[in-house]
Amino acid sequence: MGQVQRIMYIHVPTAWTAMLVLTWAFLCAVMFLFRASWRWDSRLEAALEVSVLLCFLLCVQGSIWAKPTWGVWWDWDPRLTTTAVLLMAFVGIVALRHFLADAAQRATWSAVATIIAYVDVPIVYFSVKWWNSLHQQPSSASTISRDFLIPLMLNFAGMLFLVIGLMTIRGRTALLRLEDEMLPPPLPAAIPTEVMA
Amino acid sequence: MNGIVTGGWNFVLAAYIVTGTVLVAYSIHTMRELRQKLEIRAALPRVTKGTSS
Repeated sequence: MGQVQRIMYIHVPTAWTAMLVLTWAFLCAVMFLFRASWRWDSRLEAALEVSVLLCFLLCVQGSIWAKPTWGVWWDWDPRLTTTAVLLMAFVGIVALRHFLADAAQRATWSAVATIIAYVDVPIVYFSVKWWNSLHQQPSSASTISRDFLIPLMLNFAGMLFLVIGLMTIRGRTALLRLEDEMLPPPLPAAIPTEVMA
Repeated sequence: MNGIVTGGWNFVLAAYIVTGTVLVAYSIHTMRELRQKLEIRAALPRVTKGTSS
């Protein structure tokens, strides 16, 4: 394959991490609808944003891989098309959250939209098996040599560690913002005497 | 045609640089956002849920 195979050490961990984060977003959405807890909504907000970031990176890395190996930057191949649909769907959900001012409506609508959009995740995964695709079939530990598997798993661990950290920080920010939205405005420090009279 | 793509280093570098830049930029943005939120919170008078005084 040549030097370009090194792209796989970043592309595959990004794909695995994206799938895990998308599944976490789905779980957060389900938990919010069952528990109606703002904590789950803030976790969902963090997961949605990181999902968009990872899906975007996945498309860019895939495009950089496609040019030297397939001869084109982009092809409407089943795996690429379903991933692009996934990215657009989650960009739409993040945009929806920015447009809705009411916190309860925002949380409910985005949770429902996340559950609907998540339907595309198994389609992305199985697309290379269901249809003829330029994209290669998924590899497993038994089909990869140890020399390739170790750096791949190290990168995956690093990527997962970073993403968990980012989602924790982003989730905390989202929770603080929600608290600000829920609490009444702070009382003025001093009330003029003429108002008191 | 032996299946080996020659001279692919520029694509490898592009993939790693784009990924690194995006992740570092988002990490900085996320941390700054939280720090700003905490600073605003620290500057405001403390209001406790469920209390009127």
